Amino acid sequence: MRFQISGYLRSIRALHPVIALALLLAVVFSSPLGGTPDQIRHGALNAFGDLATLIFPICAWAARGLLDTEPDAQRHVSAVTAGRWRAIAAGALAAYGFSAALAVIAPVYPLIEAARYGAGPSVTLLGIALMLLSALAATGLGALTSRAVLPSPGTSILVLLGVCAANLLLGPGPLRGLTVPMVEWMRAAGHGSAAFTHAFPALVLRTLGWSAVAGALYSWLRRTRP
Amino acid sequence: MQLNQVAFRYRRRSPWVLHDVTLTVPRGRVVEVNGPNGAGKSTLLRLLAGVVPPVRGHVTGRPARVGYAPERFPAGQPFTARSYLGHMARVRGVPADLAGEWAERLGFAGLLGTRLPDLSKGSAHKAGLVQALIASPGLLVLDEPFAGLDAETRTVLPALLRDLAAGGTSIVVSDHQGDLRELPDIVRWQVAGHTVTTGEVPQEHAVVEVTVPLAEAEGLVARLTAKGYEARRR
Repeated sequence: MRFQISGYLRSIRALHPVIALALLLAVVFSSPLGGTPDQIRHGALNAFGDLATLIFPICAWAARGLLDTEPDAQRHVSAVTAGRWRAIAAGALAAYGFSAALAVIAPVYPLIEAARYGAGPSVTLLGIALMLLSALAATGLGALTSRAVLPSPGTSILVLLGVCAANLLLGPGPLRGLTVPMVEWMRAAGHGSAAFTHAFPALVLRTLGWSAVAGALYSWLRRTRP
Repeated sequence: MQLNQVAFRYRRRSPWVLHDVTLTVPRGRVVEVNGPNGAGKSTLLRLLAGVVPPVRGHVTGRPARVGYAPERFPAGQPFTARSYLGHMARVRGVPADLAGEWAERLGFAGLLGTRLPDLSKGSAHKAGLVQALIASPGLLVLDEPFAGLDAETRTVLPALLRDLAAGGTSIVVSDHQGDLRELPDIVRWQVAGHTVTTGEVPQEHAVVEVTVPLAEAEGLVARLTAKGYEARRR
């Protein structure tokens, strides 16, 4: 795991999602949260929901980039050196570690504002948990679009962006059960802290379920894709 | 270690690269794998090392520690040779100093501080060999280990493999260059026609593949056999 993170951080690829995240944060927070303390608390909670959705493609891209940094032949060597399943698990954990770091950095500003204006620790903790869940599901998508599974970069990017778009487009409709519940994250956060806290367990289960399916599919596909 | 009725192809519906391969890897011997380009030598080596599982059949009795050096070492990685080999040693759970010792034996110690992308092809290949050797493997699988090596290392490596085999390591090597010719007790495998045949091919002999219409196959085999050649139909 350390080997893969180290290789990724030393390569220029790690900068791509970091720059994308910086641009995203610059746009989203170009005007500071303002208004009454109540409005600021509400705005911070809204920002958690929006950010959890907005960082999803960035985290998926970061996870895919980390897994793709290891050349194919090195992946084969690692499979022999560490054991095939251990190497796959180490790669997935490293990818989640980096995605989770991005996801935790993203909401620093609304976290500070929420704390300054008296939002309870439970809401801020749930906000951070939502970001980590988003990173988890995104890691699943990043792994499924990594070179070991989809060797063509064109197909891989198309699938990654296609799944992100499908999640948003299908989220409000009858097929929402198949999606990462991004639309519902945003909706619950927009309805205030009580609605967010109430909806949170169901959102966790849906996101964990999606991530588990993605993880199982990735493991199954990697059986025959060294 | 045994391969039983092993078959492999890279994608569903793609042609079989290998099928019906049943082999025993002899313990403490050096196996030289020969065959034309594209015959499936590298695939056979990947199956043996455990890089890929067989699509059909079973591989049993693979030693716990396997060393594998691919045909082309992945030099495009942002590490120095020392740092890369240190990582590999840590994954193996062996002291990083071992990498230095093996590098010394392969005449590579002076380049340990060099970044992998800056190494020459032969030196990068040595890094690949060192990472395979540091594990004290029970099975060592080397894909074209002599490609790009300098003359001195080409002399050192066969003796080094002989010593490892004497210590009980099973060694499987694909080799186009014939550098293992001098090793005593070498086992030879031929990969051709999607399968593997075992047996010695004497140094003054060669394997010739001939494609003939189906109806003429038996007749040709009979005529060649009558003339004293070893011939068989696949």
